[in-house]
Amino acid sequence: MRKRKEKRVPILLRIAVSLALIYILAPILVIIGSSFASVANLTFPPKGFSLRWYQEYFKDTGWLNATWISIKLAMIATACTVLLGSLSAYGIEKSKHRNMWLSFFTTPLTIPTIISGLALLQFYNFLEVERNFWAILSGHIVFVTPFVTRTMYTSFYRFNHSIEEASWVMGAGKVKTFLLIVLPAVKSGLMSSVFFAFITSFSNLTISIFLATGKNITLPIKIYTSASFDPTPVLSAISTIIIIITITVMMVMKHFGDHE
Amino acid sequence: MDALVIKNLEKKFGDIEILKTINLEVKQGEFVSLLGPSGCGKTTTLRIIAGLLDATSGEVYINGVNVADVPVHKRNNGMVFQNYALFPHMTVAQNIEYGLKQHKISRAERRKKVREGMELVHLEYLAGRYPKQLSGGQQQRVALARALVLQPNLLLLDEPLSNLDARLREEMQMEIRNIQKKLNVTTIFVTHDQKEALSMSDKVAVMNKGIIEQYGTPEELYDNPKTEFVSTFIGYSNLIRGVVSTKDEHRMLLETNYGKVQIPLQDGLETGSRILGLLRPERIRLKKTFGSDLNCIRCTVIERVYAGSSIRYTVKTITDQNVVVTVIAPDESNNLSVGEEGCIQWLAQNMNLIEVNDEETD
Ligand SMILES: Nc1ncnc2c1ncn2[C@@H]1O[C@H](COP(=O)(O)OP(=O)(O)O)[C@@H](O)[C@H]1O
Ligand SMILES: [Mg+2]
Repeated sequence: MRKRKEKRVPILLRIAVSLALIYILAPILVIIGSSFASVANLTFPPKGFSLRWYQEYFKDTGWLNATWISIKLAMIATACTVLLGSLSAYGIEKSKHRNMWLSFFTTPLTIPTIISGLALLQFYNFLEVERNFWAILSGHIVFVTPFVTRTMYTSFYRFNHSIEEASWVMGAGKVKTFLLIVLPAVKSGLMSSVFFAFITSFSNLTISIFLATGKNITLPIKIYTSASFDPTPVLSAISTIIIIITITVMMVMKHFGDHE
Repeated sequence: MDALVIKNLEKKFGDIEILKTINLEVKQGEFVSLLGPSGCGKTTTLRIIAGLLDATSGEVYINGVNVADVPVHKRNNGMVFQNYALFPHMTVAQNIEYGLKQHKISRAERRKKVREGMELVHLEYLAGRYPKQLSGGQQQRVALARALVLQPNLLLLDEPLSNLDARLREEMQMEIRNIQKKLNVTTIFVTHDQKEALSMSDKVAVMNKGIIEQYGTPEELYDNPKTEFVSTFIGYSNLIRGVVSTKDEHRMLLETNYGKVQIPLQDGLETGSRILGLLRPERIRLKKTFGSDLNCIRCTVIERVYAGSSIRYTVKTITDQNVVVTVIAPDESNNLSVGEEGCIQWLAQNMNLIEVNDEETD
């Protein structure tokens, strides 16, 4: 790796950047701080130190259920959307009218999420589909796939297609070539697709809230209702856990990305 | 049986006809170049042979088999791309082994062939490196080894040397040719560089605007070009345009832009026939003295480029035509300076003649 040239940064710029960082990070610090407080009201600066809100979270089957539902949703949605999004992006990139197809497949990105949620609800009502786990899952798949399609399209577009052709000429069929040559070449795009598909599904509130019933409360819905009607530092504890997991995953990905 | 036969090949992209009735026959073990300016359809032809593109009409036979229904991965060709197209996530050895794996060759056999492949291009010491850790020339060698270990029916090379610097390019030209001879592999080599094509090939197909203008050995193409395009694309030719003015049992005379010119007696040409004559610079003699002989045209030297073993002159004839003359091993009698007057002369049989059809002239 080449070393970046050290440059002196003007002092005013440093101050401005620091202020911006504090502004962005402050709410997160408040949440992390308050998750370790020993008193029940959400105050800052936090009073005392305890892990009781973490204990409460892990004891409460309601929280654990909601977490498990969200994890299941996000895992299945990630698998399905990465598969669908990658294959459609690959097809779009190979097609004659790729720009037209790309616009078509990513139209959902231009529709406000709340409208998509409402539309899905009405659509399911019309079809008389039961609003269960699978209904939420299909909603998430519809919502997340275009993000993956767009990311993967960029990867396939940058991909040097002659290595694919080289593999064909050397005797590998199309499917084998896709698995052995194309996928490894778009690995970083795939990894970020997996990451963002998971996060997008896991943290989605707007779609889920239209499709969930009492039996299928996802974690974001439970956080939202709890914050509205029954604010407790357990919320901070959960948020802190999510933040730590997210940062860890991002760092792991960056590590692998660098060694590509 | 010929290793490759192309019959009446035609290719359209939309309404645009990119290839128009291409015909080609290549014998087993021959090295054939497709030579032509950029955009003339060389890559398209090569990709149709490889099976990466479908022809609009016409047939391709590889070792006697019509390959119309054989998909690209079943044709067993080796291909080297302009940008090398090595697999970035595989080492040199893995790149070379990849095709062998696809051909279901046993592990022990694979290991032996990979080693042979690397020895062939002198890269044993780089087996564990990744493509981005290699120089352009080294990547080129890996691409070549990767194609050759499969013992392909045809080795297809698409301008493989155009990204290398001049010195390395010449070295690789020699090396590719030597390896090709050693393995006796039938090779189709695409290039826009006429020197490269002439020096490497058994035969050259000169392409222009989707047709093959002429197909022959380098000597045939240079000494006996059949079209104006071939004569100017390969080496340099002075063009003489004229009309047959006299024909009797001994000689034919032309009235041309150089003046009166004599040519050998030809069947098929009559008084009034339009003629294009092609004259190589080194086939012309330049003299200080001038007599009244035929094909001796008075001129003035306007440019002189000294190159040691030869001198290249540009002279202006009294009919106001610029003519390029190369004098090889110059001596007293033909070493002229700029502004000096002299005479150019050539043997009648050293001018190539092309009859011009009336519809081609405008
Ligand atoms: N997929 C394609 N669609 C439309 N036109 C093409 C396509 N591929 C090549 N062409 C056109 O065909 C002509 C010949 O291309 P090519 O065979 O690559 O030429 P060369 O290799 O001799 O430089 C060019 O004018 C090019 O623009
Ligand atoms: Mg080309």
